[in-house]
Parts: sequence; structure tokens; C-alpha cells
Amino acid sequence: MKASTSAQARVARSRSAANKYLTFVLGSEHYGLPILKVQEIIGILDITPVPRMPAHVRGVVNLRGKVIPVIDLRLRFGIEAQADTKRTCIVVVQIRPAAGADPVTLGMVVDVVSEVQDIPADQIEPAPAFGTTVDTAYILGVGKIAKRVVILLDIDRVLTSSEVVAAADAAPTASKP
Amino acid sequence: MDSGLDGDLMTVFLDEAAEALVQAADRLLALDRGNDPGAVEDAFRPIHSVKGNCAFFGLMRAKALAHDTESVLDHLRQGRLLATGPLVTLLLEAVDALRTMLADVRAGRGEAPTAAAAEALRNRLREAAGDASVDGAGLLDAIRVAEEHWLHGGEARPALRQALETLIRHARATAGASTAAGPAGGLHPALETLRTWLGRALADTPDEAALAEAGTLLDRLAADCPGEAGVLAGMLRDGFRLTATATGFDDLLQGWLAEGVERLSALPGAAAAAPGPVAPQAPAAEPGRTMRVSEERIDTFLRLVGELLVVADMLGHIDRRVRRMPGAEGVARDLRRALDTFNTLSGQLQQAIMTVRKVPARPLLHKVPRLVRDLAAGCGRQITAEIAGEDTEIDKRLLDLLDAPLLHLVRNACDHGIESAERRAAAGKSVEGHVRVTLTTGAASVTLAVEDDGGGIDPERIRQAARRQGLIPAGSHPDDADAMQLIFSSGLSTAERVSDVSGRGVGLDAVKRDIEAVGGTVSVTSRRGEGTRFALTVPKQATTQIIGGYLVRAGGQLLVLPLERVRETFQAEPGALGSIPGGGRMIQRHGRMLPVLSLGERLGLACGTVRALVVVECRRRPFALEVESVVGVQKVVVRPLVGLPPSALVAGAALMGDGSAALIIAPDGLIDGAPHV
Repeated sequence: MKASTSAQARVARSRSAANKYLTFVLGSEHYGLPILKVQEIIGILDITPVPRMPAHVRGVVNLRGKVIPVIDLRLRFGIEAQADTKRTCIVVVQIRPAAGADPVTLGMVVDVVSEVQDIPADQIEPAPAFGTTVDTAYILGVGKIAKRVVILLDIDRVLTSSEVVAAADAAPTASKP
Repeated sequence: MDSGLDGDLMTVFLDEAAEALVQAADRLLALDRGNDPGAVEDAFRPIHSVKGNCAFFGLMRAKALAHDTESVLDHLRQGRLLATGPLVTLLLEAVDALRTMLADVRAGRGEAPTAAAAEALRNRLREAAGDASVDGAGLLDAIRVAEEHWLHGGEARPALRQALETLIRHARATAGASTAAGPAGGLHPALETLRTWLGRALADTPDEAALAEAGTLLDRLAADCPGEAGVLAGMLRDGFRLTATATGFDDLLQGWLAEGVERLSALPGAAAAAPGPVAPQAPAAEPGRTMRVSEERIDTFLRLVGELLVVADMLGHIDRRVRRMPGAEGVARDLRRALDTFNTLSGQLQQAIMTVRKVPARPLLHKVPRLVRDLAAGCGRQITAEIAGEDTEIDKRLLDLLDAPLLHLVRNACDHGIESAERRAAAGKSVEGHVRVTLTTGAASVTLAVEDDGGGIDPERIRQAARRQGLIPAGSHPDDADAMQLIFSSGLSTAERVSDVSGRGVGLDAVKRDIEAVGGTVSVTSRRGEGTRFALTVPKQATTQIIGGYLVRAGGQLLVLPLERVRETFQAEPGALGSIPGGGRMIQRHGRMLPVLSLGERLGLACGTVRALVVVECRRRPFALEVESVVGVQKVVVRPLVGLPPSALVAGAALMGDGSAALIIAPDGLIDGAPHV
């Protein structure tokens, strides 16, 4: 049986993607994103700054004809800014600002993209509670790989709660200038 | 969660399912009106295919609900249940629940939010099904077992074969009657053809045309064969669809399909009401072959066509330069000619793609009868709905845009417009109220009208309500026409009671706002005692916005100013700039003092040496903007900045030839909050 091409196998493949995370580095920490949220990874390119935006909004870029916002994840997490290096990447993700809203594509600047890691559900623990001092709402959990910990991000929350992502319909269309 | 994983396939399925369920609800309504014997069959098929697909995508709750709905429909179809009003309502509820559930899945919320409601519905459906006599239950079970195994593939082949045997035996047993009823023959040639096509479709290198043909034939068989043969053909068709949508062909399904065709042709009873012989050599004769394309792709296409116009503009610039070159007259003439052709073709291309975006308004208007039925039942009135113009083709965007306003106006018409039966009788009108929704297109606009033959709107009541709610000054007395316009003001409600449906004083203002936001208009006309007509008129085209851009460099960045706001550009002479106490700067130009703003500074950018001043109109007043250089004039396609908070300064972004994105400045935003202006 040509199992590899069967519909069943496709479903099975997709299911297995549920445990895969794209891991990357910001400062000294390792982070992970569910791979299904990731649209693509591009090298750093010229970013057009947009005036009067929160500090962590680097600006916009042209992604094959689509203008998408780019967020500096370091600044979003309050990590000291650093100059872009050759290894700096933009991870393009699709998020939903709210249930039922249209998905929004945006880019996130990260220090280094590491690899796609398989993290089984039983290797993921909920983020420890820090009381009210540390907001953990945007953390899906903490994955354990060998000796390392990977902070798994609920990217919809990371970007929505940052007030960056306005509902798509609130975005300024070119109202008759 | 499983859903959302198999993205593309899933989206296609959810789209199809949404359509299929609308179709099913539509047919159920026909059943309710009691004038359509084929309605049960028509409602059954979409539910059946939704069920199969739900199972395929692991949406087990939706599948279970569809299954129970299907069972009741099947009993109806077999004549074991009667299509009573309550039963039809229950079925409609089930179809609605399925739609909600799948909409939730589409929105990424999964099946959970409506799980409890679905469970309750399932119980009611099972109860209803329990009323049916149990004849033929064995066959139904056989079909179910076959399906379950088939859907889960893999090791199920023996069980599948056994189920099929049962099915076919059963079909044979019931076949005699149907053969007697209809003309024999005719099916076998069709089946022969089908086998040929399937052979080609299932070959190692599948043949697209053969796939399509085999699919069509199975469709026809499923639709035309009576009884069990139809069910079998339907299952074959569904199986075929699944294999066709998957990237490759699974051996099991292939074998099963081939076998199924054998069985079907061996089925004597299947011959009755068979489709006539088909001519596979002339597939082109089939009208209206369509393909499903995602909206996003069409929009991308549209955007790219928009870019072509920008290129045309650039070529125009080159053309003008060439014409000024001495000795290049011949080249200029040729270029002119090529350019004209290019302009014509890109214009046609844009027109063509606009046509592609057009869809029939059917899905929009077809909700109306159902809604009216529910509303009428809810308020205990007799109301019939009439729709016209559902075949009108309009831009897909308009379809989405008009949806909420339409539903709102229909609700209003049923709840406020149509009077109670007693009042209607007293006024000498027919007891039954009418709501009519028409969609018409003009040269550049689309008009959606909602009319009722109810009591009309009393301007005096509006005046009173408006006064009571402080919307107009106590002493004023707007005339009837002005008073009618007040119904669009926020907060006005004349409803004496707040119902389930409307009367909360929110709505008409929202309708007006939504329609006006896209450049449309809302109008209302009403005659006391005769009825009310609301008309929504919106522009026809979903245009990619292309504007003339004035490109400048400021703060080290390339920026676009809207050309229509640019008056002139000049160089500042040394010493011409003056400043007033408090820091505002100004410059004299044509005998007038103009305020001066640094464009870069206003955008929070580090500014370089100012080489030019651009006079731009902001809020109807001229301002001189300091820029580092003027780059030129160019048409640009406006891209919204999706995903960022709205900004008063930026109207969007334009893509530049070098692949960068340049911000389009909104001049009015520059002076809002500017110091010293």
C-alpha cells in the first residue's frame, strides 16, 4: 500500500506536526513556537520605520507584495536591544488577533533561529506561577529538552497583548488623503 | 487539536460544507412548504457528504450530529416518518447547529463551544428517528458499517467487502420494483463509460480530464438512480471525491472504487431512471464548468494587475522623455504605439479580473426566506418572503458587506413593519404580510431594497420619540422627510416593546455607518398604511486603490505624499525663513506667509540637509514641508498597514521598484498636534 501518499497518511503527518516547535534564541534564553504558526523564516532586511508606534514595532517590510509589520521580540520582552547581526532573522507568523478575526501576518525579529524540535506533550510543563509580578499568560508551557528549557510561546497572546495588533479592520486604509 | 492541521483541504471542505448546508436548509424549507417531493432527497445528499468529510477531518462531534440528522432524513425519504412542521424545524435547527459548529472550527475555536447544544439536538433527533418503523434498518446499518470502515481505511477491507455484499444483496432485492416502474436499459452504456474513465483516472499517472469526467458521471448516477443504487453511487462518488482531493490514490480506495463500479453495473434494478448515454468525447459541451479558487489568490491577482498600471505610468514618463529627445521621433512613435496597446490590455485585464471576483448574490438573498419564517413564527405573524435578483452577480466583497445590514433590515421589517393579523384585517389588508428583497445593479452601483407592506413609519411618532430621547431640541419641528432621517440616528428607538429581535435602538445607525463607510447611501421611503422601503446603494467595484504619489526623501526615508495635495515645490532662499516668538517658522511665498514644517521631524526621524520645500494642503490650508529631496511623481498602489494600530500620520504603504515599502503620508495628520502651527 502506498501509505505515504494516502489521505490517512496526510492526516497522520499533520497530527505529528502538533508536537513540533521552531526554537530560537533571544538574549540568553531559548524560546519555541508551535511550527504550525510559522509561515516562513527570512533573513533580516531593510525595515521601513513607522512613526509614532510602540518601541518594539520595528516598522514594515514588503513580503512579496504584502506589507507586513515587524516586531522586535527582544524589545517586546524587555530585553536590551542589540544591533542586527548576520544571524538575525525575521520569523513570519500568522496570528489571530481575536477569535473569529481575520488572521494577521507579521514578522518577529529574533537573534538566531535554532531548529525544529520535537517536544512531546509529556515533556512540557505549565509555566510556574510568579504571582502578580510576572505575566505568564503568553507562555504555553516550558519544554524540557535534555538539560535545556525552552519557553513555548502562545504567539497570538504575545502579539495581541502587546497592543501592536489592532483588528484588521481598524488598520488605516488610505482614507482619502 | 486536529482541526486546522490539514489547512488547505480543510478550508476547501469548510467552504463546501457551508454551501452544502445552506442548500440543505433551503431544501428543508421547500419541504416545509410541502410542494417539493424531491426536497428530502436534496437535503439528504449534502448532509451525507458533510458527514463523510467531518469524519475524514476528525470532527467527530459534527459528524455525529450530521449522522443523526441524516438518519432522520433517511427515514423521511423512505417514508417511515412524516415531514411535520416540528420535525422540519428540528432538522433546520440541526443544520444550523452544524453550520455554527463548522464556523467555529473555521475560526479556530474547534467543536467545543456548541458541543452541549449539539448533544441535546442529537437526543431530539434520535428520539424523532425512534418514531420511525424499523424496516430496512439492516440496510442502513450495512451502509454505516461500510462507511465507517471505509473512512478509517487501512485494515478494513474484508469488513468493507462484506458490508458491500449486504448492501448489494439488499439493493437487488428491492430492485425488481424500481425496474418495473421505470424504463430499463440506458444505465449500462453509462456504466461502461464510467469504467473507462475510472480506468484512466486511476492509472499511475492520473488524467485530470478523466478525473473530472468520472466525478461528473458518478454525480449523475447518484442523482438519478433510484433507491439503493443511488446510495451506492453516492458513496462511490464521495469516495471518489476523497481520493481525488488527496494528493495520491490509496490502493484500498482505488480497489474499492473499481469494485463498486462492477457491482453497480451488475445491479439490474439500477437501470431504472438511469442517465442517458453520455458522450465523454465532448466534455466541452457541458455548460458552466467551474473551479474553486481562494479569494486571496484572486485578490493577489488583482493587486498585481494594479501594479501593471503603475508600470504603465512609468512607461508614460519614459515616453514623454523620449519624445523630447531630438532625432528619436521614429522610436518615440513606436514606443507610443506599444504603450497604447499595453494600456488597453492592462485595462482589459483589470476588467477581466473584476469579473472573476463577481459571484451570484444567491447566498446573500437565500437567507431571507428562512429568516422571515423564523421571525414570523417568533412573533406569531403570517409573513411571506419574496426575493428577486439572486442571480445578479456582484463583487464578493459586497456580498460580505451587505450581509449584516440586510439581515437587520429584514428583522426590522418583520418585527416593526408588518402589523399583527388583526390590525391588517381591520385595515382591509390580506392577513398575510409580505417582505420583498430585491437586488438590482446600475451602471456603477448595486442597490439592495427591503420592502414590506406593513403599517409604514409615522413621522409624528419619530418626532415624539426623538424629542423624548433628547435627539432634537424641544421646540423644533422637523418636517416629515427630516423626521424620517432621524431613524438613522444612534439611540433612537420607537419600539414600544423590546423584543428578541429588534427595538433596542441599535442598528439602523450602524447600518447607515457601514454603508456610508464604503461610499454608499441609505434611503427610506414610507407611506402610512402601505409599507416601508429601505434601499442600500453601494458602489459596484472593489477597487485596489491607486493614487498619484509625490515621492520625496525626508529623514533619510523615501516617503509618498498624495499628489492631489501637492501645490508646488520650491527652493528656500537663504534668509527667507522667518520665525515667530514661540518657535513657529514661516516663509513668504507668492506674497503669502506659509507655515513651515519639517517632514522628517514630524515623523520622528533624524533630518538631513533641507534642499526643497513642498507646499502641501493640510485641512485646506497650505503648508510648506521641508524635505531633503524630491524624487518624482509616480502612481502607487496603496497597501493598508494591517496589524498595526491606526495612525493619523500614515495612510498606508506603497511598494517601490527596489522592493522596499515606502510610507504614504496623510497630510492632515501632520498638522494635528504639531507645535507652533
